[in-house]
Amino acid sequence: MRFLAILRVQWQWSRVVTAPATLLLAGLPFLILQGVTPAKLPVEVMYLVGTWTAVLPALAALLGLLVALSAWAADRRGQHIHALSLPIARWRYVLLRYQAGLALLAFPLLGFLLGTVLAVGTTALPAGLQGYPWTLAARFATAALLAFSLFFAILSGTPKTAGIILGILVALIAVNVGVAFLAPGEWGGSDFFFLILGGPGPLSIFAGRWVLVDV
Amino acid sequence: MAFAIETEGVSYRAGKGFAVRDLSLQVATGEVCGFLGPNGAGKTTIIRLLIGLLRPDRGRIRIFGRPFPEQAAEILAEVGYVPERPHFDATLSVRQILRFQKAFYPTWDDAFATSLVQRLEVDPAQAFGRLSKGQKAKVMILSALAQRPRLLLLDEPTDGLDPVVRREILDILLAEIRDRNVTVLVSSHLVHELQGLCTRIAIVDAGALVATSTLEALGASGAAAGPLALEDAYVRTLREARRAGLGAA
Repeated sequence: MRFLAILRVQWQWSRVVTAPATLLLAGLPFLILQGVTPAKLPVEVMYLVGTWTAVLPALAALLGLLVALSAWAADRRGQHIHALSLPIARWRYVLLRYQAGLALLAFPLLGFLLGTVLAVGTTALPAGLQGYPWTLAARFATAALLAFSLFFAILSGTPKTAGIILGILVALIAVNVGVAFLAPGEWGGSDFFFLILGGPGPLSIFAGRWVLVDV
Repeated sequence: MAFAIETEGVSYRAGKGFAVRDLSLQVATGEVCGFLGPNGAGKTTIIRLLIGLLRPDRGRIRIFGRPFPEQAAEILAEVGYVPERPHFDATLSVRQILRFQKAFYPTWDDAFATSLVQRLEVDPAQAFGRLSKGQKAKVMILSALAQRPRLLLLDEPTDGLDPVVRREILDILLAEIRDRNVTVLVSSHLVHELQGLCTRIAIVDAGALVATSTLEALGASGAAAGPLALEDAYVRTLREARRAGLGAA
């Protein structure tokens, strides 16, 4: 009952994100495979599809961020006064908000899965290539869930805490970009991003090849 | 005597300029206590400490004999709270707000909520953010009452409202107090308004409790008391406390 109440309220704020995101993500795989015909060389198709490798993880992160923002939007506007006056343990309330966010995030993720399956199923690929709709959709879902969880945790703190964490992240990125710019080839930006995204750890999901079609 | 609210040596520092100092307040069960004090005296901060929005730096708070905030979830189920400013999500309709509240309060009275919506002439389909100030106040009061709370914490519930809406809200509050023996702590600038509502007042100044007294002791109750008797008593008491060095300089 409480979960449904939270879900209904969260839907008010999340629908401006989740409803269009569901439609866009369902259509995106068709855009990725646009221009792919059996007459094309496999290497051409790989190049065409490979250009989305940077876009898809960014979209997953953005989706996670927007759903996390909308999860806390109402409470933040009311300075959490209503939420904190409710007869429920704080950790339980946060858990309900998190679960509701996951439920709402499921719609765009299912939209993407449906889109990838349909796009691959209706597109004739050159010989030697095959589609990986389930793998890409699973990868996209994992990245979006991870981004949602991270941003949800950051935003669940006070604005000051969230500001400090986000500020540190932005400062680290700025420093590394600066170092990479001033001393290319030395220890710098590429190493930083490799450590964060490429090393062993959950964030490595954002790196690597995000392709719908492969050999 | 059983107390609905007991605070013992509660202190809270809110930034550099203001602090609640060594607050020891007791409100008996069934009592209607008016909470008076000048602007910035700490009334809202103290009510926020009592509802758990703020955590005291020192001291103990007990609500119905139970430690707070240790047992906050159980205690808050019995507390109706009307904050100084509207706190509901502006995008939700009145009906959605009431449905949300119902999910959280085990003693929620649906029939009573519906009757209050009709009596206060609130449009349940209207978004909370689009309501007038008076209508928002009505929704907050009716939501707090429909919880069927044992304790009501009201932070300036009628501040800035026109006399008609104010009278409507006060009438409903009076009926609730009479019929259900609910304990009320109500802060207000409108001292004369509290005269017909409260049995006791507590006066705060500069974050400290400077006086508590029954209306009877202040000569502000009974047929002989004039309409401004409480206001006169309040101003007199506050001045005396300041001269004694209890409140603000």
